[in-house]
Order: sequence, then structure tokens, then C-alpha cells
Amino acid sequence: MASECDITRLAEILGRFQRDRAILIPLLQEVQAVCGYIPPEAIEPVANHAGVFPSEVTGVISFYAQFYTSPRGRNVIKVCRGTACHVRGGRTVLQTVMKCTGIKDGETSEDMRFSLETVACLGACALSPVMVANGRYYGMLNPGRIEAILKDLP
Amino acid sequence: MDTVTISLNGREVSGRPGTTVLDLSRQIGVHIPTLCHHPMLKSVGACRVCLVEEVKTGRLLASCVTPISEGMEILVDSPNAVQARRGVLELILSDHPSACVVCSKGNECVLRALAKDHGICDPELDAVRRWRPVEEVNSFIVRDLTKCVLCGRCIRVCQDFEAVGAVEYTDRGYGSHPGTAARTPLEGSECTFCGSCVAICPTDALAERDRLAISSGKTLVAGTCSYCATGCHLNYEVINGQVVAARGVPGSPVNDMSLCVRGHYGQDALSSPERLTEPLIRNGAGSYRTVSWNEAVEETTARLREIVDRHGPGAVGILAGAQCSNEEYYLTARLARAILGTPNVDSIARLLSGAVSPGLEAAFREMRPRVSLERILNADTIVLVAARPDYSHPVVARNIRRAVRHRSSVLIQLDPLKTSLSRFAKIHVREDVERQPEFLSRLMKALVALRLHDEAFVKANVKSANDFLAALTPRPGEEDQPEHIKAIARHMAASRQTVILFGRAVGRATQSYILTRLVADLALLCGQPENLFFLGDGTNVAGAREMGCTPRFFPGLAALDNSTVMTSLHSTWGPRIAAQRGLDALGMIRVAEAGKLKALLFVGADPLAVFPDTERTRKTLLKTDLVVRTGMFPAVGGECAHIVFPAAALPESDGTYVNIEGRVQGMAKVVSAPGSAQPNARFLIDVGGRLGPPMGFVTARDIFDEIRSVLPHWDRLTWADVKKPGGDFPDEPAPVTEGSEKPLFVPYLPPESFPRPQNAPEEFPLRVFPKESPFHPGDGVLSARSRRLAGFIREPIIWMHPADAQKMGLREGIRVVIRSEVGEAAARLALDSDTPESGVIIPQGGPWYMLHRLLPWPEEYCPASIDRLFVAVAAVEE
Repeated sequence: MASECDITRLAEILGRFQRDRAILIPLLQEVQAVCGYIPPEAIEPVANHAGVFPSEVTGVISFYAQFYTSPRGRNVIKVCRGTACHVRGGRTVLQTVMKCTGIKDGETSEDMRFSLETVACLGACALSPVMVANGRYYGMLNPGRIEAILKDLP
Repeated sequence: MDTVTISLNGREVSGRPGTTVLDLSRQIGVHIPTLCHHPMLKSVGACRVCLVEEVKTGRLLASCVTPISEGMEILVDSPNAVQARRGVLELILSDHPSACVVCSKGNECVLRALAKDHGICDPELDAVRRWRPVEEVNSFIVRDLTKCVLCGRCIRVCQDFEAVGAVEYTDRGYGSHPGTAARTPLEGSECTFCGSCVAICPTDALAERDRLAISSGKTLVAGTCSYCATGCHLNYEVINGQVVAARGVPGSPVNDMSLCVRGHYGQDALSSPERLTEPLIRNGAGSYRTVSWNEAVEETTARLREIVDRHGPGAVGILAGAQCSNEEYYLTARLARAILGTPNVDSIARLLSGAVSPGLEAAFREMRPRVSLERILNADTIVLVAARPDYSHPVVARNIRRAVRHRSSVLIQLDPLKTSLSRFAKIHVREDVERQPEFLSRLMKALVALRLHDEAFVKANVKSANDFLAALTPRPGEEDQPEHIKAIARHMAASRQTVILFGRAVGRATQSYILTRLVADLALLCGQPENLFFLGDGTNVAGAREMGCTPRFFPGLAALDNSTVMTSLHSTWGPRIAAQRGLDALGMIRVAEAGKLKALLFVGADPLAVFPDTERTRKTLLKTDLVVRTGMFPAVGGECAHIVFPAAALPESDGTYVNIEGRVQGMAKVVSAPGSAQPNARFLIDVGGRLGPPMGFVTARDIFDEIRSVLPHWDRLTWADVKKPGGDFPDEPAPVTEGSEKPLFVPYLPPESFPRPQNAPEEFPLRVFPKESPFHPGDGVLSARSRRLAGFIREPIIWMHPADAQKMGLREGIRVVIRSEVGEAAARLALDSDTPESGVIIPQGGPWYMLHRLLPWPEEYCPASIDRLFVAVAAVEE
């Protein structure tokens, strides 16, 4: 998967951005949009393009939760671990997702099908317990529904 | 409004707008405690230890980043401010290990001093511990980030001061720490191990590895670094008569605060257990016996006298090393020409820098452009012609990186290899020294064709200007120069200051002389001869030439037939002076091989570490009647001398040195040499005084004073001035011949006229590209004895292009043997697609002396043809 973002695609992405440090975050977002994550080989070209040190690029990537430095699964599942969800069985939601996908929080399955994350609150407490799969909200969950939802994902 | 007035602790104080509260209070002597603040770095207000109270608003301000504003009322130690500061310190201390008793930072810890000042012992806060493993991988720096207080000093010094940018805050919250790009270990990052972060770390998070001693009872002695000709000013830390560490001094003229990896970590070589401590004389069988200094001197002089009596003085040759002081070079010249009566005197500079000096002398004649490293900081365009200051003169490279980083200066690199500076270069032309004459010729044509040269300067100052410019002007119908060359010409023309640096590869090229002339022409064409730097090897090569330690000149680069100089020399040197041109370093060894040179004296030079073709040199030395050597260490490649004198290191003797800018910097003895080791000057005085009348020198200052009397342009230098940080500059020498202070262009050579690169012979298919190491400058004799410098890379590594390796059936990481016409060397193979195809990168310098074993003696008048060295690489069984 490391070859996902080959250098020719990177050059094309870089070409769309000004050579200025202000474009660093949008540029990284674009690289991630194309590659699914920020491959380590991209750091130096991105740094040169933005006119910053490579270590500064890593500094930015590591500061923001939105950036990933390893390939992610086709389906990204975010399970809410906020207070409202917790009271209504958030822990069971997480356990069920873990059981169905075989991965733990922060991991990606070997077949690259799932990545699992926990978040502090998804802002949909009225629907709790909640999880988000590929950007879509699923509320009022129970183990049965979770299994069905995950089964339907590609 | 020119000044801003505020009230500080009830006093009315004025300062310039933009001054911070902290700076203003320090100016008037009011103390505000600080932690992350450092006078050499931009303030960021990271730690909040410097909080003060603004009374009108009641706000607490970080004084290091708060500019003064009219009418402010600041109380430094108001109860609120003190309480807040204590709180800040308690928070910092709460997750800092309280193991001060066993911490090597000891009394130098800024955090501990602050805790003491604020009376904080054990903060009663629940700590969120963030234990991190101690990183002790490389031989220079120990990182114990558990002790890190996130002040960001290391990050700022690395990014802004050194402009390397190896570290940046990584991760967030409790996880944040100074980290590298892509989280590689420090050893695989851009880190140059300059050690500035270690020097500036307020705690023990970054510490020097393997310090010889830890004690608060140290003394600081100012001096100069002995590793290269940058001549960095530093403080030696001395404990019990031993140099244990070195530190840069903020604000010192040459290097400000920076030192490189050698300066910070290479001084342990002085205390190496391998140091020679007693004189040695060879017994018949090749074993050595220890003798007294006097016995060794007696033996040397008796045998020298015998050789001179039987074969004449011309049968003796003296060769000085590259680390001697001016006084020692001067004595060497005087011993040779006036006492022994032989003109065969040289320094190994000739071996290291080839035809660069003759080239520059021919170009600039009696003009001596005064260069300054500070100009690099203000340069708009910087051109590197086969120069790798990042490896040879790291502090010069710092200036280049800073210019690129802070002034957006344009760096143009002419180098077949990718170096650590390549990522700063706007244009990197990967031409080798073989093709560089053609390239420079084209570049000059492009400059003239685009009318971008400094015609007014050239016409007014350069002698052969009209012919040269006419020859460069394109003929009708002549085709344009390639676009990348025109782009470089435009960059150079658009800049007010164009600095050109050329390096040792120029000196060791087959076309060394012509390449030097072309580089000089380029500088003249830009109208900026004072911005041309040669980054050669050795600590005091300029001093060797100036002192007359060369077969071609008297002291002061005076011609050997100059009767005025001769008359003045007679009054100090006596009636008999050998005034003919002598043999140079390679000439001496060649004539010794033919059996016509009977005695060779090496003053601070280790022959097998400097001469090419180790085997042939060894055979020659072993059959020479008398070989005498002074040195700090046992000889590289086996002792070939009959008599060996133990020598003092540079910080173990008094002396003056000339750096690459032409500064004369004095150095006072910092520590004593081990055993009976003595400065080379003592050897020269003792031998000279026995062969002729006593010289009457007691101290280095006596010799320095005599040099001043011999060199009129040195007369204004005083011993006191040269010993100040940064030393002093001598005057411009007065031109001897009318009009000869005008420089000269080399007769124009069209780009097509240069020879094409040679093809590799079938049995040796790979071209050698030597690459310097920042850890082993010059002849590498000193650095090889530094445990830390030698410990970083423990075995020689060569690089090949993966395609070549595949063709030859070689795999990454295997052990290989490299063979040339004259010798072979073992190494481990690494593959890198940045290596030129059909080429092999081998380490130059370093404790392996690989190049010396592979490189044949060059043709006559050709310093070294490294660009024509071809080798074969084959796998060996493990």
C-alpha cells in the first residue's frame, strides 16, 4: 500500500499549489484526499514546495488529528465515547464493532476493509449511542444493527 | 516618536519602540527570571517564567515577548507576578524527574537554579508522568526527553540559528516533544550533530555523550578550534589539566556561537590513550626504543649533518603538516633555507589543494582580496563550485543555510553528488570537475552575451580585460548557451553580492590550475573578487604560504629573486640563504624514490595519511636514509620514520593561525601536552639551534615578533590583539611591482576546447567520486583518534547506483573490495540512486585512508587526478 501515492501523482498535486508556507495544510489535505494518508516519502517534496523544513511538516501532521501517516481502511468507523453515548451503551457499541471487524481502536484491518477510531463526541447526543461510518451517522444503535451496518459496507 | 517611556518597578525608563520589557529591564539591571528565553534566539514566550504584572490593567505579561508601550506600569516582583511565576515553575517541575543529585547537568541546570531561587522543592501537584526512553544511539548526543521542558530552545537554534531544521515540536499536549521529519531517528534525519542544541538546552534533556569528566570545578579557557581553517573561537572546558569539552561563545566574531560536530565532540582526541608521549628511535630491526628528547635531537642533528656533508644540503627535504602555527611554518622555512641551506621546503597544503594557490596567485597577482564570512550571510547569490562546506567547513555552511532561509538567497550548486546543502539549492548542476571548466566557460559567455557582467569594474581593474571580453562576446550566428546556464547568469547578475566558494575537489582535479583560473575569472567578471572563497583542507594552509613554507616563495609570498626581501632576510636569517626554487611535496617524494633525496623531515605531518599510493610511498620512505617525523599519534599505516618526536596538539601550545578570511588568531596554551611531547616549534628550535647558531627564541611570541619584523604588512599586529576573539587582520601588502596589483584574466578558452572526459578502462569500469565526511576533515589523523567522531561510522561504506550493482551482481550491504591500478581497499556496499551511474562514491578522509591506497602518484605538475581514478568493485566472502 505504500506505493499508493506515487511520485508522479504527488508532482501533479504540488503543481496545483503556490510555493508558499501558507498552503501547507490545504496541500496536505489534498495529498491525503488522493492517497488516503500522508506517505512518509511525500514529506520532503511537500516541505520543499512549501519552503519549510521537513520536520515542520511532520510537526503539522502530528498536531492535527485529521492527518494520517499510515494507510487507512476503505471504511472508517468512528465510535462515540462521549458521556451521553456512554450512558446509553457506547461501550457495547465499541465492543461490537471491535468484535465484527477484529481490530482495536486506532487500528486498520489487514484486508484494509476497516479502520476504527473513537471520538469524544459526535455532536448527535439525541441519537445516542452513535457511530459514524464513512461520514454517515448511525444512531440508536444496538448490536444487531451494528452487525448489519458493517456487513453492508464494501 | 523615538522613545517609549514606561514605569518599571516605579522608575521612569525609556527605550526604543519594539524593545521588550525583558530587554529594557536587563538594560537597567533589573532581574527577571527566564527559562525559554535565550539572547541569541527569537523569543517565543513558551515557558511563562518571565511573567511580570502590568499594574494598570492587572494583567500578567510574558516580558520576553511584550514590547514596551507608552505609559506602561510594570512591577517585576509584585505578589501576583511572583505567585504566578511560582505556579508556572511548579507545573513545569511537576512532571520533571526530581533526580537532580544524579543528573549530569549539575549546577548548569537552568531549571534547578530557578527552583532554588523560588524556593520550590517538591511541587505538591499530581504529576502526569510522560516517561520516555533514553535515546543513546549515536556517539555524540544523549536524548533523555523525560527531562524536556518544551522550551523550544533546541528547535529554535536548529531552525533559525543553524538553519538545519532537523527538529520541530511533534505531537500534541502531553505527547509533544522535539521530533524529526517522519519521526526518523536523529541519525537518519537532517541533523548534522553540530551540538548547538545540546549547548543551549537548559536541562539535561540533551546531553553530550561520553564526557571525559563531569565536575563543576571546571575552568573555561578561550581558544581556537584546530579542526579546520574556519578558525572558530571557542571556550575549552578544562578539568584537572584535561580538555573535557568545548563550547561556542555567543557573539564571537568568526562563528558567533556555533561549532560543528568536530568542535563540540572531537576534542576528546587530545586525551586519546594513543598519544605519543616519548621520542622514539628505530633500532636496526625495525623496533623502536624510547629515548630522551635531547638524545633524539642529538641523533637527528648528527645524522642530518652527515647527510649534508656527504650529499649537500639539497639532499634534505622538509615537509610541514597542515595544522602547524605560523611560528612553526616560519621556523620550518628558516630551518630549511637558512640553516640547512635547502630550498626543498613545503607544506602538505600542496597535496591537499593542488594547483589552487598557483592559480589564484597567477590570477590575482599582488592583489589580495579581503574576504569575510559575514558576506555570505548577506549574499544574494551563492555559487558552490565543487565545494562542500557542509562537510569541510560546517560553520561556513551554516552561513549559507541562513542566507537561503532568512534572506531567500539563491544557492547554485555545481557538484556531481547530492550533498546536505542540495535541498537548499535553487539550481543544482550535476557536472563533475572534469566538465566544470567547460561549464564555467559557458557561464561566462552567457554573462557577457546577456551583458550581465560588471563591465565598469572589469575595465578599470583587470589587466587583460578588453581581449578577454572581446573573446567572450558571441560571434554572429553563434548558438546560445543552454537555458539553465542563462538562468544562473541571470541570478548572478540580479544580485548585489555574489559569493563564489570552491572546494578541494578543484584542487585535486586534473585541470586544477585552469579550473582555479576560471573560477577567479568568474569572480572578476562579476566585479567581486573579495567574495571568492577557497575551502581547502588543513587548519593553517594560508599561514604556511604566508610564512614561506613553500618551495616557491620567501615569507610574505615574496619572489625568490626579490633583492629587497633578500637583503632584509639576510639581516635576520644570516648570510647563507638558499634562494632557488625547491622541490614541492610530491617532488620530494619522487626524488627520494629515485634515491637523490636522502633525508626527509616531516613536521607535524603523517606521510602515509597524506601521500597518494600508500604502498609506493611506504617503499620510498623505507629506503630513504633518514626520515624524521613529529606527530601526536603513531603513524597511519605503520611507522616509516627513523626518529619520531611526540608533538603537542594545537591547544597545547602557543601560536598564531590564519583562518580562511585571513584573520590572524592567537591561541594561548590551554593544557599541557602529555609526557615529553612538545610543540613542533620546540623541535625546530632545538634542531635548528644545534645545526646553526642558537635562534634565541624562548616563547612563541619571540618568533611572532621576528615574523613581524620580516613581513612589513604584519608589523601592525600585536600579540595582545591577535589573542582577542577573532584576532586581527594584517595590512594589505604593498605591491612590489608597479601595476601588478591588478589581477589578470586567463587567456580565453572556448568551451569546446576542454578535453572530453576519459572513458573507463575495461578492467576498472567505475569512476571514483570521493565524498568528504563532516567527521573527518583534512588528513583525518586527529579525528580518527576521537572516540566519538570515529565511533559514529564504524566501517567504510561505498555507494553505487542500484543499476550498476545489479549489472555486477552486487547486493546492498555486502562486503566488497575496491581495486585500482595501485591498490585495494575493503568496504561495505550501499546502494543509492543518487549516485552517478558508472560511478562509485568512496569516503575521502576518515580513518580508512581508502583514497590514498587507490590513488596513484599523479603526473608531474598535476596535483592529483582524482577525476581520472577508475576502480573495480567485487564482492568478498564474509
